[in-house]
Amino acid sequence: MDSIIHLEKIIKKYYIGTENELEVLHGIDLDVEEGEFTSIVGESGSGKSTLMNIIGILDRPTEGNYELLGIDIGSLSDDACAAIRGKQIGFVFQTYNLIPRMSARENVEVPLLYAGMPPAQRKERAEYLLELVGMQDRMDHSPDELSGGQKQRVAIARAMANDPAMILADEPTGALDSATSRMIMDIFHRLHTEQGKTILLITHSQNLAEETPRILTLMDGRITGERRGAHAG
Amino acid sequence: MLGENVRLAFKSMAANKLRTFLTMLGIIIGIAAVIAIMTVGNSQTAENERQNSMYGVNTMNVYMWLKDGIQLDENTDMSRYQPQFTKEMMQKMVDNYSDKIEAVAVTSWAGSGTAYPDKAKDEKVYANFDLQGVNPGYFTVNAGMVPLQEGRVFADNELKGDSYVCVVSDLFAKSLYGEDVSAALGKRVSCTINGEAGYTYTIIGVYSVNMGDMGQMDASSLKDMSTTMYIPYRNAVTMALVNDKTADKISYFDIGAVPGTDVISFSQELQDYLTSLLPADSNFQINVYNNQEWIKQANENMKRQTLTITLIGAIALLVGGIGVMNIMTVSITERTREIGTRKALGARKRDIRLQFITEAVILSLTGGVIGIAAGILTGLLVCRFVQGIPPVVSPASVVISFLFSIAVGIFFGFYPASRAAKLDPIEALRYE
Repeated sequence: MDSIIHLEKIIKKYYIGTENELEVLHGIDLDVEEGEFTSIVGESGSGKSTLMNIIGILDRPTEGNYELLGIDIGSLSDDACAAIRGKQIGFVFQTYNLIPRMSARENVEVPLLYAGMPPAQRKERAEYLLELVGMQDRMDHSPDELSGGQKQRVAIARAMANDPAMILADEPTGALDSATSRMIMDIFHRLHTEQGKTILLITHSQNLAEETPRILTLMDGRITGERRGAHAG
Repeated sequence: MLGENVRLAFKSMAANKLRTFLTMLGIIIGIAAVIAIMTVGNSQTAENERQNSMYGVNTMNVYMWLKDGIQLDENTDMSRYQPQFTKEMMQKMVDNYSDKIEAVAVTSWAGSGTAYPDKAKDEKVYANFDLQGVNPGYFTVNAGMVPLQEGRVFADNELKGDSYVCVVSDLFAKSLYGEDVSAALGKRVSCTINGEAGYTYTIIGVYSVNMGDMGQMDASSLKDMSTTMYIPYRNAVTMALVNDKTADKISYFDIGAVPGTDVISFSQELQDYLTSLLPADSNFQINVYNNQEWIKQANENMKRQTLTITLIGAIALLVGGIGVMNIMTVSITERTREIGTRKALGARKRDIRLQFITEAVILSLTGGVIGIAAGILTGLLVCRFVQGIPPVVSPASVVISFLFSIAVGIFFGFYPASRAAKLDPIEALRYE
């Protein structure tokens, strides 16, 4: 299988050149292949947010090499990064980050809009995706009319909008009760098995990680372990 | 994308209606002030031009009056202080400026009265009039104000004071002889003048009354309205002398200059010339006026007023623009997470910038459109009820205001929008 993500000796430093210089990632090597469901587990302060930002092309590494779908990200302009981000990475955030004053459907349409899809197709695609996550009855509701679980389902539909190479989920159940968390995790499993989506789950919860076929443990800016999840299907 | 941004802009404005309105207020006031004053100014200019063409662009008014500072008391011999243009003075003037003077108009007011068809039995058929004696030149000088519609003016042999002929208004003619005004020509009318019956005049001409000056009138007040009946100058003087011993003295007359004459400089020249004809120790001074000068003055005043209020409008617009900038900064801070999210979803810098510039433009343009409407309304009301002139909206001012509102939005929206575009997506996503 082809590598979707190829990280090589990724180092991230902050406050470079000052006496407070801080190295958060100490040379991460990581390959994720197409169709994998991987979780990255780590305590807070382990560097998992920084790693996620780099994988999500929201941030650039200080040193090292990052290739997404064989493209060298380090050589791209900000606008080119924005375009790749919009098309190849589907973000799911702990805090949902739906845009207020826009309906569920309009929220799902946003990545399609930036990718340049015409309105009629956008609408059709958004409706298909919302059906996929079971939100077909609330497509015209605005975020403040939705429960947490419903918001996260809309966010997942939005992450799927451009049929990205990978879904990057950062603590997607962090703000949800256990029953709702279960439902959200089931959606991820379904996307993985039925759609063959590559999913990268970033979490501090060992229990959630155990559901995924591949678990990477991050500690103090290094990947310290890799194993198969105990409850992986 | 642009349509999407416009829709979003309206949604975001609607989400904060009061704030939106307060922000737009500066722009509304600025645009409304400019549009209103331009409407009034435009209407005033159009009105000035209309009056100009009616009174005649080449008309000059010549007055003689007592010099300032001359004290009169009951022992003064008034005959020495009665201003009078002599026949010789006027003839000299006409001869001297025969290339520039087309006609001279002299008038003498002789009272008012009521006219009936000669030998009429029906008391309900009548016309009220003011009586004025004029020379034939009067109709040349005032061709704009009393345009002759039918018939003719006085002939030379009718000026001696023994010809009882008259020129009446179309209203007068219709009151007595029906809609066809030409039917009045040659008819004799019996008149009661200053309460005295027994005058008989023959109608030789009919002029059109300019209804523009009278506004809307219902049929009955139209019927009772007095219009001017013109008779030969000498006839009127004879009548007026009964009550006023000085009625035959001319202290005022009008001149119609030959078209193309520079009326403003000619007035000055004529004033100097006529003054030179007076004896050095004369008690009188002569002034020559023309309405070109007056219209020029009025237009300049109007321009100055327009400029002043436009400046006030510009200041209001500047304040309004700063308000737009302020509210955009607030709005962008409030929506930092949204901006971060959009960037994560693939928005480029220019997408974010365009979104917020569009919002600023929609905000100021909406204010501008409301301002244009308010300004036109104010302008129309001021024209109608304060100035009493027909309103003329300037399409140019509407187009300029429209474009200016867009420019204000772009100018004052650019900086906040650029700041939004430059936000670091990680920082923005983490923003609480």
